[in-house]
Amino acid sequence: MDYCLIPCLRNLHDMSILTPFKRASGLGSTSDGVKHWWMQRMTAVALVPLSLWVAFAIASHAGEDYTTVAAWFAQPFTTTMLILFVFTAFLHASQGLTVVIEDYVHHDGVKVTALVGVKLVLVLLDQQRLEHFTYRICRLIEGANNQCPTIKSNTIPMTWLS
Amino acid sequence: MKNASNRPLSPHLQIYKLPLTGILSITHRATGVVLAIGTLLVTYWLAAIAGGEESFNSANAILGSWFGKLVLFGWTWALFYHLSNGVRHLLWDIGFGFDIPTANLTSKIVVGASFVLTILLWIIA
Repeated sequence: MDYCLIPCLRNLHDMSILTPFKRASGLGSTSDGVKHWWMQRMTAVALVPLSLWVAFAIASHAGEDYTTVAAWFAQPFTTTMLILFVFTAFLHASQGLTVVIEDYVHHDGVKVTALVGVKLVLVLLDQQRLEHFTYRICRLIEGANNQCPTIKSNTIPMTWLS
Repeated sequence: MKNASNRPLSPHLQIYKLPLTGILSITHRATGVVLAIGTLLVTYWLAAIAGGEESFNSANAILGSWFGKLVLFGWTWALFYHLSNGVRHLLWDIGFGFDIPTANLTSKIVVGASFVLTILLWIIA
């Protein structure tokens, strides 16, 4: 995470005449900026076809009854695209929100709390949903008597949002 | 972080009139934040399908209400705006379209494309 631990500590002792450039120069990078930037572009490229497909596919199934939608949902292609979309979208969202927080939140404590919060909430939510989807899709395809891997609590995502 | 020399680091937003490209830039961020929250709605609908007929019907009742539709309409516009402007950003990343006339032209294309795609989607839905 690239918050300014060392520059911030230096600021405490640095009153005054140094320019912002002088204060920052020579401290080195925080090491993962390029990867963060690059991954944000990669997820963006992936999301161009994925989000177009998801938006129009969902729109074309709007208003259909459960049986029709569930049958569409259980097709391998649909499932694959939806899982890729959910995973990529939340990764991209977490990276984007990280940058927004870094840019606009200037209080160190609030900033670090918000950054950690974004990571935990979005990544956990992603994980939970993937587990939940995989389990339910397996049930849809295999029926009730199946070898689907059980998950710790398949009710958590539903109770969070409903 | 405090700015030691008190020089302004960015334009004074109450005085400086944002150009079209500037308005699009801040809207890109705003729609990004909105989408991060709104995508939860999409996954709610997907989880509701996975949850069975009962949860599917209750999710449809919520999302199909006038308020649900209003939120979804906003979400689709935000998605298509962020998508179109995102492509513009990717083109900048490979070095295309940095000059002011092109940037102004692509601004207008982005806004137009976002509305066209939104309307197209709601014709299908």
